[in-house]
Amino acid sequence: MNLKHVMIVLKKELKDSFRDKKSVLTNILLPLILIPLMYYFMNMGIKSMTSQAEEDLTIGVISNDINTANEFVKQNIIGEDNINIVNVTQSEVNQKLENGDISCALLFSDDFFEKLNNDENVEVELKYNSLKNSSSLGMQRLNSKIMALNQILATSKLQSMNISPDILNLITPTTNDISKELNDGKTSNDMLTMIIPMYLVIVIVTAGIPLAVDIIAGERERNTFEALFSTKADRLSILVGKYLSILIFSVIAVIMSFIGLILGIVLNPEMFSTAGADMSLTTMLQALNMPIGAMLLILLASITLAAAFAGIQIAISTMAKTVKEAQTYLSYLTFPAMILGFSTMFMGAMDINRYMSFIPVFNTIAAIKMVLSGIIDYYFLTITVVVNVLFIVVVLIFIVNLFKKEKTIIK
Amino acid sequence: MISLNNVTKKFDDKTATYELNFKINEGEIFGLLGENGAGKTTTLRMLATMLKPTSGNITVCGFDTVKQDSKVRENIGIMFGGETGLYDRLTAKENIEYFGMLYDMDKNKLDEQIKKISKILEMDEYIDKRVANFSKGMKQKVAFARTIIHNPKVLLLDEPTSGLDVTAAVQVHEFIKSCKKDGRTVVFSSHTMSEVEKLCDRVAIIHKGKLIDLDTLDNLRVKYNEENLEKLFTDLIKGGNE
Ligand SMILES: Nc1ncnc2c1ncn2[C@@H]1O[C@H](COP(=O)(O)OP(=O)(O)O)[C@@H](O)[C@H]1O
Ligand SMILES: [Mg+2]
Repeated sequence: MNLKHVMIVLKKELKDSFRDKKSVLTNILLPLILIPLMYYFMNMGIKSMTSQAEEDLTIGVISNDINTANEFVKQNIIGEDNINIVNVTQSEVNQKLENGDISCALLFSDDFFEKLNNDENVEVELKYNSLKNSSSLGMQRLNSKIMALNQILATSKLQSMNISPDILNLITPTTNDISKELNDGKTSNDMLTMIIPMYLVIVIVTAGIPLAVDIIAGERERNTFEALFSTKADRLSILVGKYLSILIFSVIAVIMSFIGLILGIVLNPEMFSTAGADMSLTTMLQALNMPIGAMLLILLASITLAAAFAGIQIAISTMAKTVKEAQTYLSYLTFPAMILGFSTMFMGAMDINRYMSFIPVFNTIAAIKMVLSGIIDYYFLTITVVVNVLFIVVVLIFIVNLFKKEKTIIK
Repeated sequence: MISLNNVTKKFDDKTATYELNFKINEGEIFGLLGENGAGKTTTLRMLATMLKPTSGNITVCGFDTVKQDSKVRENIGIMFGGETGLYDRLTAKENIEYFGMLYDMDKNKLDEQIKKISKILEMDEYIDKRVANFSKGMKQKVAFARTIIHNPKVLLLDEPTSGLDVTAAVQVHEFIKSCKKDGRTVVFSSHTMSEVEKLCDRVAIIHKGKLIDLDTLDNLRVKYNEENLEKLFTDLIKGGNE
């Protein structure tokens, strides 16, 4: 191997690929804006859900004693809330629910008021359409109002009988999340720890693909491979130069994703306060403000994984007969990353076992997830990096041998 | 200049060339003539050190293609296929420079050489433009320049006119002639006798990996008493089939 030749090849491949607008777009710009965009749309979604829940609601009331019913609903159920009442008949209620004229309907039985006055148990039917989000939300709103009314009625009844209403709440459960105590007060950020590790690993696994296709299979299809191999540069130098260019490209994409991640948080701070107590900007930054050692180790884990996959990409692009074939095979690389990613998605950071650090790809996703959740396990992180390095060695041995074969260049 | 000694190449159990024995002289244009699958490309790849002979050996400029492959590569320039590819996003100069640097040429020498070749091939106008929008003729010139940037003694061209239109093919022929003028040895393969006839000093006719005959065109005419070389070629191949 000749270092000078390695550098010449590396410089040329980087220059060549940075002039390719498409690859600059997918490797630098896209990772940079994807996470902020994800946040932006999630934020919008949450906002519209909350505003829908507070919007004016129109409900239908069905009863044979419509005046009493209207009065009862206004006084006892709606109160001050912005809910409009329309009177509908049995026959038209389904149609109106479907049209969206009303969000839901209350159907009072004929003897409802009579029974209620006699302190008998009564039923009221709440009609809604679960296919419509606004209808479901309206039903929930009405339902909780009726529950509240129950409480009030029961309380006054008990008081009139000289019994303390406390009897209604003999047992009160209080919840206490111990994860905070276990993690020095750092909270896990569910949304982020679910999506981001998987996203990062997909970037690591796929970022080098366009370049790998172009500089091996593409080179061969262009008829320049033979010319290249007839220069003074030996095969190993050419291979290493190309390998490093793919690696650098992948690492750039990973770093851009990290920057995108921070941008996403900074640009959408309200998202982290509206979506739940655990999602404030400060807690997130706190989580990011992890021990420098742990941070370096997950960066190292990401880079070593990228290094192994740069090798796998070269191998696949080399073995493929044509550019098309290379593209097809390389696109399959996304699947293992996705599957392993999904399998960790719904796993709590604390469910991750140490033996998992021996499974390549999975270990890196898990490591990022743990560190983002504030769980710092140096044993896990170190094993992950060591396993990834072994992974690189295996891949490199394989591609060096591949390049020694005559059939590699000649198809 | 080049010598093949009992060169046999097998792919698995398929024999691509069988005990080839011949020498190519310095400064001559040497044709490798044969049908598709005759073993032309395989032979040229062995000369270019990309394939190792299964048995036998080859020397180029006195260097063994297996044991001294790097020395051999310094002395050869290759062009495989008519539609020779270039890197579209690099300029003509950057394309040529890349190969020059991989031949360990120093920067000044390389610049000088590019200027010289660019003048000769009349590429000055577009030498600093990106290759992507070049016409076929322009691209071809860049490929020529790339092939001779390191001033190789031997050129190996594998069917350099295949897939080209007439104008482009003529441009290739002119290039081959100019290389001979510069004192280079040119080995090129073809499947048509008419092309070989126009350019070659000597021709080796190969069929199914075996050398059928090797001589100057005039000697071939006399030897087989046949003025029509195209017919001679087809007759020889038929003979080889029996
Ligand atoms: N890489 C290879 N693997 C297997 N067989 C090959 C390979 N390259 C060439 N051959 C076989 O060797 C023979 C000679 O091929 P080639 O040298 O390409 O002929 P030509 O260039 O004259 O058309 C053919 O039969 C071809 O199928
Ligand atoms: Mg051929």
